[in-house]
Amino acid sequence: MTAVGIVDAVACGLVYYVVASGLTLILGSLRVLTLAHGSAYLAGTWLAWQLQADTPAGYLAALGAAIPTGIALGSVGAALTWPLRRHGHLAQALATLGLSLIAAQAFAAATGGGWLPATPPPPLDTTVSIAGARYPAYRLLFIAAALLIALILWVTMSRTKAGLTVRAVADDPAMAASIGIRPALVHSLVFAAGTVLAVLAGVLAAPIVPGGPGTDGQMLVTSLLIVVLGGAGDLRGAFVAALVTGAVTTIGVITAPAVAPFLLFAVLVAVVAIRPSGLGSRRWA
Amino acid sequence: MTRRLAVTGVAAVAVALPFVADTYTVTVGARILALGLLAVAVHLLSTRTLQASLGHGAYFGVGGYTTALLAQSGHDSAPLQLAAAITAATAAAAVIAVALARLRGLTYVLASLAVGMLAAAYAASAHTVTGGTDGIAAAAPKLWPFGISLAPVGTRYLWLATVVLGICGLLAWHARSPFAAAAIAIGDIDQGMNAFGYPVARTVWRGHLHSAAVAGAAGALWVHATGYLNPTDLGLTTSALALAAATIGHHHGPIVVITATAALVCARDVAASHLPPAGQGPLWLGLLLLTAAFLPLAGRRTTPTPAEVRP
Repeated sequence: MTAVGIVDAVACGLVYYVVASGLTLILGSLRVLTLAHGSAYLAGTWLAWQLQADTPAGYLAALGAAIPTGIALGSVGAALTWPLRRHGHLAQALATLGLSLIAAQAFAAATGGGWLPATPPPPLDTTVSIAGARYPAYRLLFIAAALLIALILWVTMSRTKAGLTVRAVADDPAMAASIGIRPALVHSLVFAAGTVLAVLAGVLAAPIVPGGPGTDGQMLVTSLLIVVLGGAGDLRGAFVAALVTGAVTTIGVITAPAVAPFLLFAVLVAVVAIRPSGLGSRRWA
Repeated sequence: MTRRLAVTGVAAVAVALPFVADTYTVTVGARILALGLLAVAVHLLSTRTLQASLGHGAYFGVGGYTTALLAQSGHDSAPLQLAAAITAATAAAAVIAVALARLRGLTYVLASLAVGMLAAAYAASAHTVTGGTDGIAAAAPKLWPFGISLAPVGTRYLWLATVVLGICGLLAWHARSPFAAAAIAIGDIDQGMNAFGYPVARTVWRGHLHSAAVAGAAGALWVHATGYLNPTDLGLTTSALALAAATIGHHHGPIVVITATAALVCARDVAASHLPPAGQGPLWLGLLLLTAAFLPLAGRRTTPTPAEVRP
């Protein structure tokens, strides 16, 4: 595999990581199975298209708009799933799947059902030389941005009071409530934060994985795969799993496109059979 | 007694459908029977080992593609196709369940969903085997050894109804077996049964095989009903529809689960055909799933405990 191939695998894996980190945050902290997560990515690509992110001003506007959009969409998801918290994950899964179907139809109506073209804004729409081969500069910037997001997320969850509060609610909501933490507020904030990550991923990665019919499903299944491989709620495991998924996808597409999904499936079965608690855990089966 | 009478009545109406309804209704009824059997497969797992699957589309697809490929290669015996579909789906589950049977709760839901969606993605990309997104067509089979063609809608429907009722009868008989009792006990007290010395992992694995066999049969019947299969048929919406029906009929038997499937499919299709905006089936299915999710709240009771996925 060439140097460009390796960098591309990392870029691909980090696209998946930014989306999946939001899902694993929601799953791990709230125990909510949201199947509308791919729709948030789609919303990000729509923002990039609508605000003309192929210009510097439009790109910054889309990045800025990603946060309120993510908060708004996350609030809808939180409002739908909070009343269902005592009714099991199935009810939450059905409700959010319903939401994602409605969102997909709304997206198709808003865009005419086609693919949304996305190019990086100047001066990022150029190529750089890696080991003698030309490579899109924007993807390198995306790698840096995704690593920064991963770092901020890890520091927030493991080193700040906000992260401590979220972990307290995840471990024991009743106990957290008894010391003055409002679980409903934490539920809304974490849902919003997880959705913001997916929308932000949509804006940032639109030139890499453009929005279109089926993109929401593709992002959802890849995110779910990463959450299962990495362990639900495990950010470190999700990071490793995303890089593995990116590598398998990239290598698979280059070497044997017909069996690329089968390779991911084989990785899933192997990891779950050997290490059911995920790649991030130290526990072996 | 009233409940048994109602179930018998529903079964009788289902069998009588081709004699009293028009061709379109019978065609829709045949599709409902196939999807209903898929919901029964999901129900089988969710009521025994408490594993809620969103990935049974994979086994449905294995059964369906096996049937279609056999039909394309000239093997047009419907029972043979059905047997091959069941065998293939069970064989697929024998491998997949090595991993899935180890999981519980939310992780199981996630992993099963990933398996189902990967299977659909594989079906879409493997053009040489599955026809890719164009799908694969299958000629109407014959009923060996009588040589009766299943091309007429009514005959096809009766074949499907016979198979579905036969499998439901088998499941009702099997529900009284020691294996079923052990599987239910494992669903309730997994670690306790392990401590008692029950082979928990093997029992759950076998439970998966039973469920996958039923889902494989559903896939074969879907191809018999429609004469066609494409990757969308085994996608997330199919699995979700099956799980929704299994959840609605959780405290009841297979006939109620199939009735719930019929209600969901009819509501979706009727809404898509008669309510604006035109041709928006997924939109209405989305609203239906939202309604199904919030139904327990309307009744001020919790979702049936066994259907809950424990964290």
